[in-house]
Amino acid sequence: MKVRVMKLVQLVLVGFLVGGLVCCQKSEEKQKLLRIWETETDPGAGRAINKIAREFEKLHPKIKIEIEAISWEELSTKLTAALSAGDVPDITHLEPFMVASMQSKKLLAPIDDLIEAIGKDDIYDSVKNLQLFDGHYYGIAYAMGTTYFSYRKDWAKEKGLKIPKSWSEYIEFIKALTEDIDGDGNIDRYGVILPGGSPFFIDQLTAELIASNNGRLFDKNWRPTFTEKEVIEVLDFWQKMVKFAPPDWTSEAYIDQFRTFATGKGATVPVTYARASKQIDMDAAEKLRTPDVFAVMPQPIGPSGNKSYATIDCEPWAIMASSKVIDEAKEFLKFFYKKENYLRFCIQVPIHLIPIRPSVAEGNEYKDNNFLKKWQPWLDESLSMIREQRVRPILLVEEDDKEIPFLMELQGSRILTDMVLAVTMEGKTSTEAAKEAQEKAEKLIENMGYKKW
Amino acid sequence: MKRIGIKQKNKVFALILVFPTVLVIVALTIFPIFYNFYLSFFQKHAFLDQKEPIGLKNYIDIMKNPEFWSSFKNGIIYAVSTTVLQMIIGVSGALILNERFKGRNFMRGIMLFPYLMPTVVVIILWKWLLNASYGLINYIFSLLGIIDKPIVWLSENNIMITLILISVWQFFPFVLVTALARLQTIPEDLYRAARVDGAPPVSRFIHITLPQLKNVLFTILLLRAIWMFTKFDTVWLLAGKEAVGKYIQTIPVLTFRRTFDYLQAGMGAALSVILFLVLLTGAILYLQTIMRSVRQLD
Repeated sequence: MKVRVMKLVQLVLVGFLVGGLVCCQKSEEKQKLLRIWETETDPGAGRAINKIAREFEKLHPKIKIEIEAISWEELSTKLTAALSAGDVPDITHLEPFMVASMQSKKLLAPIDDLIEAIGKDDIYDSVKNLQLFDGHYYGIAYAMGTTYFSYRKDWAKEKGLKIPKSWSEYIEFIKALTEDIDGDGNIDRYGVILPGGSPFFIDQLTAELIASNNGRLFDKNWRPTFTEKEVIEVLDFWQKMVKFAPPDWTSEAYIDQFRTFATGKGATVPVTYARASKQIDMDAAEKLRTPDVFAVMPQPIGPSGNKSYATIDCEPWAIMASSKVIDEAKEFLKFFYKKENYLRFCIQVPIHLIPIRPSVAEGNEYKDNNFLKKWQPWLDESLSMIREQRVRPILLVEEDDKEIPFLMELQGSRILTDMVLAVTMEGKTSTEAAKEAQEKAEKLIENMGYKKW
Repeated sequence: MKRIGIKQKNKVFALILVFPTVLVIVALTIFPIFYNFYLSFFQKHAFLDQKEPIGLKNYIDIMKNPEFWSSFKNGIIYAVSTTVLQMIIGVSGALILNERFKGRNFMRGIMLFPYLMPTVVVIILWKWLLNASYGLINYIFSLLGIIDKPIVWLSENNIMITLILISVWQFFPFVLVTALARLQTIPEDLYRAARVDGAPPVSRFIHITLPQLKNVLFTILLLRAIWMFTKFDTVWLLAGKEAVGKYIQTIPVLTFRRTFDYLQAGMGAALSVILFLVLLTGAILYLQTIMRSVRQLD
């Protein structure tokens, strides 16, 4: 009798299990799942994307959106793992230098109709064609932010220093601002703060300096050009610059450098995005939180350069070719770029998340924001660089570099960072370090089968 | 006849019971090892379905690559120094905690604490403590007049020492607990007899404690050396993603970076095969020691 009862209970349980599974499957069949990976670090911006997604779901009850926040430092690793497991998201943020690599491997879907929907003429030229390959668009920036050299305007004024225009003037500038204030023999204020803790930012600054020195990373045959004069001069500049940086600059994290800057331990920060203004507003002494104290200047020009360039942070949204909901993904992105939604998102990190649509970025609704009004000089500087097209995405030193399909691997290999560390920490000459890096990069490219020279 | 039938039935039943476990082990351990070995002979992209057979080229490239040898050297420095320090501190701690004193049980509990903490917490904690600008350690050192300038613990010159110190702090309790467990099983009569014979504490340690501990110590030494040589999390979390990470890069970190940063899965597989062989050598030595101990006990 007991056995029969047990069997009956077991049967009922199995029935529930099977029934549950069938029901789940049916409800999943009803709804299409749209998976999104986004790398925006600001919590407010993250919440804004989520809110936009929930509103989209209300309008499209058959679509369910799952958003996963990914650290951009982990993006490459996570994508690699996801691609090898065949479990990629439908929409993802990418770094511009990753796009060619992924597009050449046919991993991305074209989004021409999305660009049409946003309005081709309503996208800044600086970012519009960055993901244009063979006449098709494979991604579009979600917002833009440019780098500046930020500096303590008040200290520079006290010392009667002018804004440096060239690298040699900049070295003199930071030298004058490096000081032992209390006279105890230890430096209390350093001339420059560098994000040496992160290879990503060392690479970024190196590429930016090369651009401002009229140099390049690769020739037309994709052969590395690290031993060219313009790159060697960049390494010399690094060598001179770190003499005025804190001794622990190699472990300074990107965000930490703004705290160091805001709290008066450093005078200039060459890798500054407008995100820093938000940090300054939180960490600096209340009366100092103004652009008259924490100011920005355009990048100084290298000895072989004739104009300087800023780095433009403009991670594109891209749709994976393997997605089963490509149309739904495009619909969501169209919804995201709709003026009212887009504005709501971009305003979360004013100036750093500059809308890619001039009609939004230069419209009163965007500019009518107290924070933005306060830090207006920072926005003006960014917009002037964007309008003049004096901006380069990370690692894309020349316009044609967007076609290079191995920048993702080059960045991962840290060859550029190691080259900088060799001259700044290991006592090697710029020529020696460049030669070593050149050999490593050539080997890497050859191994990947991209050698064309 | 009937008994044989039952025995065979039991055997079949036992095999059925064991089958799922065997299946899981084959799928999750044996197959990946062989697949990894197979992959090491290919030039395989990390995520694309493209692979080209290249024979032993990955292994030859590894042997020619200075990055491999510097990682190997770092691994040896890290494994040897941390193992030796863990042994010294762990065994000394075990000897102290084996004595009778007030608060002994409390101290035994406290000593285990670093080993129980998750590695990620340990690293975050130590990175804060050792920060050159606002770290507590530099502050205390300067208060005591030991230093007049802050020590940059995470600089290229100091980062290996920092890694070693953190690892020793985190892992010495394993040595301590294992050695203490063995110490507690040494018969008290041996010490009593030695005392009657007038043997001083040093002699008692050399002639009684050490021989009794010998086998356990050798086992711990092997295990710790293997574990430290193949350690990934502590090294990676301390500076794996940072520029100075190159100064403490060990083979497990290099393997990870080759696979996920360089996207060279074939090369990553070859590196893990090399790591596996090192591990296997250690494991064989470990098993031999265990077998010898068992024979001695018999």
